[in-house]
Amino acid sequence: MSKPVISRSPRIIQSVFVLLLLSLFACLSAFLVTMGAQIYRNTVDSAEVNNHSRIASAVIRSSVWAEDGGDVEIEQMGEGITALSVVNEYDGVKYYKRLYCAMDSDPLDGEPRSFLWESYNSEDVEFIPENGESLCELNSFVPSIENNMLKVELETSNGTKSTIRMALRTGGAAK
Amino acid sequence: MKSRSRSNTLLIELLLVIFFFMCSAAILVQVFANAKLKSRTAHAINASMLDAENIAEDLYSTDDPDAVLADYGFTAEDGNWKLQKDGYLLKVALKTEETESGTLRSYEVSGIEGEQTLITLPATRFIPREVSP
Repeated sequence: MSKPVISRSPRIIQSVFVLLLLSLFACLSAFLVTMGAQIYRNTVDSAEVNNHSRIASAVIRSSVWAEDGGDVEIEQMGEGITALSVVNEYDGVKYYKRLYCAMDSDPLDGEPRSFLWESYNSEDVEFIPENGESLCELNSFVPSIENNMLKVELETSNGTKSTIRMALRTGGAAK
Repeated sequence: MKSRSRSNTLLIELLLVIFFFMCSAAILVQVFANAKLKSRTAHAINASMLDAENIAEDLYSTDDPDAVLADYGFTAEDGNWKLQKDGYLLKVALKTEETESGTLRSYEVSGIEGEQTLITLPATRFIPREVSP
């Protein structure tokens, strides 16, 4: 009577072992996929933040350097918009290049988000924020000028804060 | 007997699958680790470049570069100014050369991660000597 019990025991152990191996395989697969997805997401997020902060920094620096012969001003444009303006005069007409932060709809999902904008128009054209060109996602853009030093405080879409400092080289700058 | 043989085959198959899975997992973990490292390095390059540009601008506009660097939190070590930031080291080398017509001030701002130099931003400013009329 005891013979079947003895012969069945190794088979049960083998089945349990197979099940254990299968569950180990499943756990490791899930762990690997989760880890991969997490690293992929972190890498993409980090690349996006780097990209946005580089774009903002490059746009601000090149705008000021390119037209530093004019006046660099901070303007309050209404609707809570503070613009960094570089003013140049050609043939007696003043032209304003403005950088500012305003809302725009995201091209991917259509949701309204805060973007860095750039606009260029003459003094006889009324400033309308939507007439500019949105460059990159940016939560806040706070420019200030102190002792011929332009300081712009930025906050990227994930909340990372950075500061851009620029010495205004020309005599007409910094009002 | 036949059932036992089938069970053994399944076990061997499963062990082989797990073996290959482990080999793939080892390679993948290495790839993930490299991706994370590169992402961190890219962030350090970006952040150190932003810092270096700001420091270069401040050094350009000042008459007392040592005071500016001290304000940033730099400490003077071995003739260079160093500041440890989150994940990278900023190093500034200042050189002042007096010439007949004025002072040539050159500085080099570097971002360093471990032994690797991430970025180097050289800048020069010439301050002409005031000529009495």
